[in-house]
Amino acid sequence: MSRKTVPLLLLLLAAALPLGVWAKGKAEKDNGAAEKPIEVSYMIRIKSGEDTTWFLQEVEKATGVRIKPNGIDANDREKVATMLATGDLPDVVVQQDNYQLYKDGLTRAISRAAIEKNMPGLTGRLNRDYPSGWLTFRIQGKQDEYVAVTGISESSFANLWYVELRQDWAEKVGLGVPNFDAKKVPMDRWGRAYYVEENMSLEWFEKLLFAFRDKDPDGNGKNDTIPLGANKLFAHSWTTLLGAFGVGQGYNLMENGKLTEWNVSNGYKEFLKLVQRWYKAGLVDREFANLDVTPAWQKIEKHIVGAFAGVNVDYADTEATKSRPPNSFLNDEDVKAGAKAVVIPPLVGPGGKQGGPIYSTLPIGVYGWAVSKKVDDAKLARILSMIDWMRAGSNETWVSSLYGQENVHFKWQGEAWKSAALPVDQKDIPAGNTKIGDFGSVYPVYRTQDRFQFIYPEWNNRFKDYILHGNGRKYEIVPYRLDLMNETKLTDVRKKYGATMDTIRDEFMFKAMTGALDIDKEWDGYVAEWLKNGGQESLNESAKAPLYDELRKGIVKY
Amino acid sequence: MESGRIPAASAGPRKPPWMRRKTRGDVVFDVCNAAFLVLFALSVVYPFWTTIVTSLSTEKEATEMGLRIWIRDWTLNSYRFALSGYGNVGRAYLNSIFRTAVGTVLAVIVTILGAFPLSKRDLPGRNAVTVFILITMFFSGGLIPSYLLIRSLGLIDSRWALILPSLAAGFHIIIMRNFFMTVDKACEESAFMDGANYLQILLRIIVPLSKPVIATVALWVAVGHWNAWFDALIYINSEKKLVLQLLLRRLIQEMTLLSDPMNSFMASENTRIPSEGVKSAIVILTIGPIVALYPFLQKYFIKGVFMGSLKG
Amino acid sequence: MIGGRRGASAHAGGGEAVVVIDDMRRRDLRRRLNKYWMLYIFLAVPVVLLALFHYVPLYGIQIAFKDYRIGVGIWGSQWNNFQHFKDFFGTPYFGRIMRNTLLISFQRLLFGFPAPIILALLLNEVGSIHFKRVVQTISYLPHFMSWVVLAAILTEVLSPQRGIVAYFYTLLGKQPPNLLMEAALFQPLLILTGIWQGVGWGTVVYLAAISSIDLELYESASIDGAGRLQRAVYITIPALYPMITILFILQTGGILNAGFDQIFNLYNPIVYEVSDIIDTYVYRVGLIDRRYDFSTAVGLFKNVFGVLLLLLTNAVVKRFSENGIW
Repeated sequence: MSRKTVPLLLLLLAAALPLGVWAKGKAEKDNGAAEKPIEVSYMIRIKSGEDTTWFLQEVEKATGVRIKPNGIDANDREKVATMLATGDLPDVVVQQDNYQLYKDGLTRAISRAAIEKNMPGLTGRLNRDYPSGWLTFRIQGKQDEYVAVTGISESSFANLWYVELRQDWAEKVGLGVPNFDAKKVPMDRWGRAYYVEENMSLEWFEKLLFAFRDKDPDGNGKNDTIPLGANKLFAHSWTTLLGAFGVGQGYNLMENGKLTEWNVSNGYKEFLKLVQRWYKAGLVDREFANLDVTPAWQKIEKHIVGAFAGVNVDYADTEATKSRPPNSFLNDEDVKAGAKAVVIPPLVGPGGKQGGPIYSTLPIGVYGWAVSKKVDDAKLARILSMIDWMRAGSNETWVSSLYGQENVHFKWQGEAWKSAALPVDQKDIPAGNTKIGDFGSVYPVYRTQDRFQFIYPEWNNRFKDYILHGNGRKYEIVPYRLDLMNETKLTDVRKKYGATMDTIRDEFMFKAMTGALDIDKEWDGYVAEWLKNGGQESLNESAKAPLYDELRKGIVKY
Repeated sequence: MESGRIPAASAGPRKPPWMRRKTRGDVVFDVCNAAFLVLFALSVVYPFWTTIVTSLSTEKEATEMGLRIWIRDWTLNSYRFALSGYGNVGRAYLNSIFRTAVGTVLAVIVTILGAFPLSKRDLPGRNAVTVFILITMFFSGGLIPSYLLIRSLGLIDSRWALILPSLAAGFHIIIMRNFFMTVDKACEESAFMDGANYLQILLRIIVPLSKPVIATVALWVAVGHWNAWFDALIYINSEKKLVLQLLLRRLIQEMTLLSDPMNSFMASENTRIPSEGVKSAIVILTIGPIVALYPFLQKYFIKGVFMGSLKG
Repeated sequence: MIGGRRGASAHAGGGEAVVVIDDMRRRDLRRRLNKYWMLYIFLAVPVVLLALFHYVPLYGIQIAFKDYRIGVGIWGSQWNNFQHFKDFFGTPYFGRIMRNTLLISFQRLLFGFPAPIILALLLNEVGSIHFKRVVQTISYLPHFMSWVVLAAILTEVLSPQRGIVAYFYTLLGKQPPNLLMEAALFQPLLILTGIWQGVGWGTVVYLAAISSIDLELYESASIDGAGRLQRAVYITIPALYPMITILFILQTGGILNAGFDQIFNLYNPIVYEVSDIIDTYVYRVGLIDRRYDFSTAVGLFKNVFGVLLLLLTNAVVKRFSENGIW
């Protein structure tokens, strides 16, 4: 070695040393609480029978927590029931009945302090956007202790129900939605459905239905078009029409200064009379009452149906849901031939009322992580920080937890990290990788708006923005009171009387809609019957619940 | 009664004289009977046939409504989808076959062992045992205690948890017992006199004479095992021991999950939500084997023209 | 005769005779035990299995009388003073669901029970063995299809727009009715389609019984001049009596099971009036509150009711024949 290189080498070594120390320190910091690897059993079933997934391995590398799936999926209800009944609880349990689990002594309390200390990401988000998040899953009587840690689901926090119809048929009979070309906004990338922000009235809609019935809009020489499609699920058929009378399905409301439930309100009565009139006039699918969702959607695909009032716009623009509205009114050949389908906001009813029920009342408090009683505080801290890192941490981690490894388990729709992640079929995953890349469980969801770009393909993304931030907000019908913190006996009343109340409600509903009874004559008897069999009690309990509007702001007011 | 000799029209071994004599009334009856049976068979085969047709149809055809009688655009895609990566279907098939074969053989043996003694009217304690069996047919402790029992026997996640609990079934024992009771005693008594013990009597006399009822019970048990999924759901955890019905049920469940908008992001560009075509393929895959098995057992049920019963 | 009926008719003053009779019975008993010893070994196998897998878990029935709390388990849960039964009998719909359950089951017994027998007899009369086999194999196919699938197909067939039935109505110039929404037609529809689904499968056991009838009986009857109908009535049917009676008795035990799967997949609120049965109602209760203890209580009620009816039927049947449960 020459004389010049030795000092150079020494210099390099001297530089390398602190570099190495710094790198090691950083690695340790990145490994977070990786002082001691621990094992945490978790309620997941890894599909395709593997023992682990790529992301689970990443979890272990980054946080030192090794997840042991216990083989039970939250959707296997019987298996979950057996698991709970035999007390075979894993450390982390994810399902919806969190209060019950705690009451039965199976899970432990989680303190607010623990959440704030170990879950900075979630805490920050709740404090900033959802102060009401600190109210959910609260243990009764305790201010700062929880039965579960809440997730966040912003994607369904709005009214998702809209009306769709064949615009070209409507134009043919002279009743098209105005300003279609000027105002149309694409709802998908295939041109199968456009959104037009035009407030159309019930009267117009009724005229349109009559025209669909009589004027052979599809031009096939037969009057076989079903003007308004429907099926036996209320939500998928009628919510927007009910909204035209100011009532949100499933929610309580104030009417004439009194708290009442949606299915005994005057608005509902008027709604029923409207549907009965339409049904008797042949404007509604005659067999809707015993039609399941799938056959009803098939009718739309087959171009027999003119309009549909229960279109869930969350379905738009996914390849997988092409056979459902809003993307199923037209197929690709139709689009090429110039056919048009339009999605419009909920119809405007008498008194100018308009809207649809908000899909989930609050983006928090639906699914939560609950922790088994056997877990001590130190382990709890590790679990919480792992969850926070996974869900509320960086975008990269979050996407990987849902989809797996970039370019192995999923591919980008467009630009990397700026477009939707599209899962790759299992058989196309190159050998040597685990077949499943993601965490193995999507619940509880943590879907905040800044991450929609990774989930929803482009058009749906834009429409989500509209729903959550734009005009879409004004169509929400919300409950008047909401028992968010489970303070009233509403659940008990429901458990006791629920089946009876629902039977009374459903029988009357279907018989009324299909014209099998006289609504005016039977209404009072129906309401009295419903009130007598638990309805009044449930209203009494609802009256004790806090006001929804205040809850949204994080304020508890009764 | 007229004895106009109308020769037997159908193929097959020559029928004995008493079967071949036909009157005019007989012919009318035969025609009506045949017509009725044909109509009945058609009405009954219709759903099965449409399911096969749907399972072989393309997406477009599969959602066609109305009578589905023939296949225009046919494809194997539905089957491919159902058999592909949702789990090892081949292994699930093997598990189902194992459970059905072993379970049926053992259950039939156990049933015979129960039915034969009970068929002796003068067996001391017969009534008590019958009541004992009846109670099990109508009262059950439910899911949780059964699960705890299986767990304490160490059978959780074992294939035997799917076989052992159903080996003895009261209903089958009683049916078989009643059949045994109609078997002629003379044969048995004389064998007993000759010094045969009951095991020999059972094996050499009773069982051969009782093939129809044994085949019936075997069929019932086999179908029960083949269609069972609930016990596998509760007792089996490891994926490699899953039975076919459970796997296919999960497939349908996952398909339904995909249709929940909350989960729409789980679907990829390449997976269409499998529709009627795949659901039909699943139905055929599950029913197929047992339907194929049946004709082999059928010969025990349908009386052929074999001469004479087997007299001792 | 079975099991040693003690307490022989003790005629007054027949003291000695009684002792002799009792003695004879004891010796008779010992003789039978000696003869049948091996049979007891056979019997032990299913008895032990049943004891283990059915009797051991039977303690779970007690939650029908308790408020089941997962945390404390079955033994720890509190007795609830028959609250579940009070809830069940106290629902305003109790009368309706009992009435529907009993009516539907009764109709199924009346029409559905003889159906496989008749079909078996008809099949038996068919000359060609191939035809017989093909029809029989086809006939049980619906039994294997779940009502989820069958109901979808049936809905299509009965659809007032696309169904075959509607087609015939339009041919006659009338508007097709919505058959699945007519309360008057719903129960007959259930019974008919229920028969259609199960009749083929039901023939299996009867055909098995028929196949073991001695052919010589037919031969000699025919020689004596018996025609087909007479042969069927006097030979075939009597040979089926043991099977018929036992199956009939057992079916009455399940009288309060009116066919949940079928009804659940076909009914809708418009026809609740005639189709809501115990099981569908309990199912809807379970949707809201997965009350395991409540459904156990209802199940217990159904089974007790069924067993009582079964015993009654058995007693009646024994009056007329010697076939019965015992």
